[in-house]
Amino acid sequence: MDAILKELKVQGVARSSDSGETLESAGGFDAETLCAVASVAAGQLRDIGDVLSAGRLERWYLVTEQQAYYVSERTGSRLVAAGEAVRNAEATSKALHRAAR
Amino acid sequence: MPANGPSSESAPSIFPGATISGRFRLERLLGRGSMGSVWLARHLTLDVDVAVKFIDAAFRDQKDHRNRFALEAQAAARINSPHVVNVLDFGAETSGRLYIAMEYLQGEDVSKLLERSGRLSPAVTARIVSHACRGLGRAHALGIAHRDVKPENLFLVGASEDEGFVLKILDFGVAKSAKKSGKDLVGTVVGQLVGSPAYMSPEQAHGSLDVDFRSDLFSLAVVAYHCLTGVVPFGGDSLAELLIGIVSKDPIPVTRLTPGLPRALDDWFQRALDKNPARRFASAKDLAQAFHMAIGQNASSATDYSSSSLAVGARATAVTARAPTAARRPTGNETVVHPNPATSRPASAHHADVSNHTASTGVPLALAQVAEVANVLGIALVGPEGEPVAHHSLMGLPANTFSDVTRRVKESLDTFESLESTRNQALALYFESATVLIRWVESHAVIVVGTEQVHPTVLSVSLNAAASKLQTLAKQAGGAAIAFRSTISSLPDNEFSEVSGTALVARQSAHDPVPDQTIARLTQLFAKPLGAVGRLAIQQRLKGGKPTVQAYSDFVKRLSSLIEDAAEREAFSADALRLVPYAEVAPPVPPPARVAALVSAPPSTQKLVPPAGAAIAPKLVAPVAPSAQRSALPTPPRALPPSADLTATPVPGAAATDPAAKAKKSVLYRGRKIEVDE
Repeated sequence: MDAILKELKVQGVARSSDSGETLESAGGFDAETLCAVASVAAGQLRDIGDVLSAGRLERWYLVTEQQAYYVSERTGSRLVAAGEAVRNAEATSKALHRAAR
Repeated sequence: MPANGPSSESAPSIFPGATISGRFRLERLLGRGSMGSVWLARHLTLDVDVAVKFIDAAFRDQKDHRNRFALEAQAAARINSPHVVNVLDFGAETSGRLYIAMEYLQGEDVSKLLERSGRLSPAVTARIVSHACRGLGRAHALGIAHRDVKPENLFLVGASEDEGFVLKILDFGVAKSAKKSGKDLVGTVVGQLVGSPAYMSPEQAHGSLDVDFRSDLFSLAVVAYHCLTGVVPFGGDSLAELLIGIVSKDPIPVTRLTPGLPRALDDWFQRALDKNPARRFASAKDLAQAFHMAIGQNASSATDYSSSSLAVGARATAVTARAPTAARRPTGNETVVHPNPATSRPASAHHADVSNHTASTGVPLALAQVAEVANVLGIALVGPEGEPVAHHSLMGLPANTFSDVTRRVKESLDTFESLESTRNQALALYFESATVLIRWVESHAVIVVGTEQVHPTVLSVSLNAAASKLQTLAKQAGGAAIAFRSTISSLPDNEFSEVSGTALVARQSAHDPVPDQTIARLTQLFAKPLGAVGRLAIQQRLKGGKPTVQAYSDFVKRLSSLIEDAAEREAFSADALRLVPYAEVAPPVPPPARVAALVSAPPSTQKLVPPAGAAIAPKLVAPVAPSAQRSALPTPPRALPPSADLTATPVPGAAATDPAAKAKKSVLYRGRKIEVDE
């Protein structure tokens, strides 16, 4: 976790179960809440894949005015990260997804 | 404009650090164009990098060159295509030297790519031809011929090696307008060569004044030939030999130079490089479609060109303007503007609905521009309540799919409000075989669905560009907030009961059942202080699902208390917001004559406690004060005290239907049967 945190330069990174239970984390952020929220959101976002017949949800990110949240989905687990709102969230999202492999 | 390599610039008024017209600060020289120098500059107000092209000092006082320079700016600005470099400004600096400010592009031109690669694959060539045709098609539709189509003027933004680029046509410096042809405008005289020799058309080689869009198509075919074979079709040791070849010789078939290419390409080049303009392809669209067919690609992705897209968009807009309820059904590749229900109302002088404004002016164009990125399945602008305002579909993706996706996204992201209350800006979803990108613009959302082949950077750049355009349009309309308030004020007085800074709850009758939409909205507003778990609990409870917290009754008490407090504080309509026990809604009322409606404010104003709420409300509902409106409605149900357990009314017979009812009791909430822990 610490290595990913350092590489991504985000505020925090955590690994959770598919149901949102935090398994491990690093950095100064509310990992448990983010993992829970990501778990709930992911369930509904997966449905969009069904609507579009697009297959499995692999990764996603949300950028707000203040924050950026990155999620990499794996079977049975999830890697999440939170950082400051950035213009190029794509790069961080990809890096997180790579780290999750 | 791209960099072409450094060069010196002698004019004293143009130097690094110089401010041009108070708008741009020059950073460094990028290179030289056909008639002047190009500088990297910083736009001082927008704080973005731009490219500024200055006419050479030698041409500064020459009328024909000044005219040609001005024409370049005008032509590029008029074309307004994602495949033509975007002109931001045109003017003269203090010494009188003309300049054109353009978007700063990063990438490389086709000539550089050819230098590195020798020749290109049919797929990459097809993309070059396709994008160039979109830009040229738009120019030709406006009566503008470029007249200098060559690899150096075809710039690839993004990763050129993996086809993920967007092509932009540069340098309309020798462009010619059909409406103003002749030497007065561009300094063209009989016998003078205009263009780059190797890519010239026969009519250009003759020095003819009668050069039109078909010359551009010939030149583009020469570029395509160069891309596929690594050599130009007409050559020679001298300029004269080259020109003779262009006007009289047939090129070597591409399949002889590059074995393995489809035979159909020979036929394509035979027609595209015909000496007689009348026998060539009749339009840029025809040329591109035929190329795709010749290399065996599905032409569907190549059928959407700026000109055709605009035509469709214009038709849809016209339909909206004449008959708001009669939008055309989407069939394949087209842009559809969805009539907003508000447009059916008589327009008032102060009404400025942002969705209507954008739909009638810029939305179809902006959507079509983004959709031009290959492999994009569709794009839509969705309103605050999930209603499609306009959509552009390349594969017949229906509008309700976009609405469905947007609704699901909204529901899923509600949970993030437990982390922070700021509005969402962008969401990206990467599935195995599709990408969904959403950008929120004011109170609207732009949603793009692409396949896995879409280069994320390219799509993101296009999406951001479209979002910026939509944002500009929204601001032009007075802003989403103003539009929201104007929409509210345009409603008939008796159609709403209360207005606050965050929401309008419109109810015709106090006995009307509150629609799901309203319940969801209220949940969003009032569950926030309860935290994520409470929020999920109320959402699931209201949807009839299983509770996720054991102390549900305490939770409901707390919620009802919050609602009562908020109703007083924010002048919300208490009867519309509070939880009503079964006893108060019985006996069942007949279906409402009018459906209740909820109009939400832009996300930026969606705060639980808007300080301006009390001040805004009287202005928006000026003729009738909130209390007076309530008294004019049918008698509302009695407000319960905060301490009342609003869910505790048993429903006869409910327990018998639930095997697990021993530990639970069933109650009705808004006509729904729900279970509550004892």
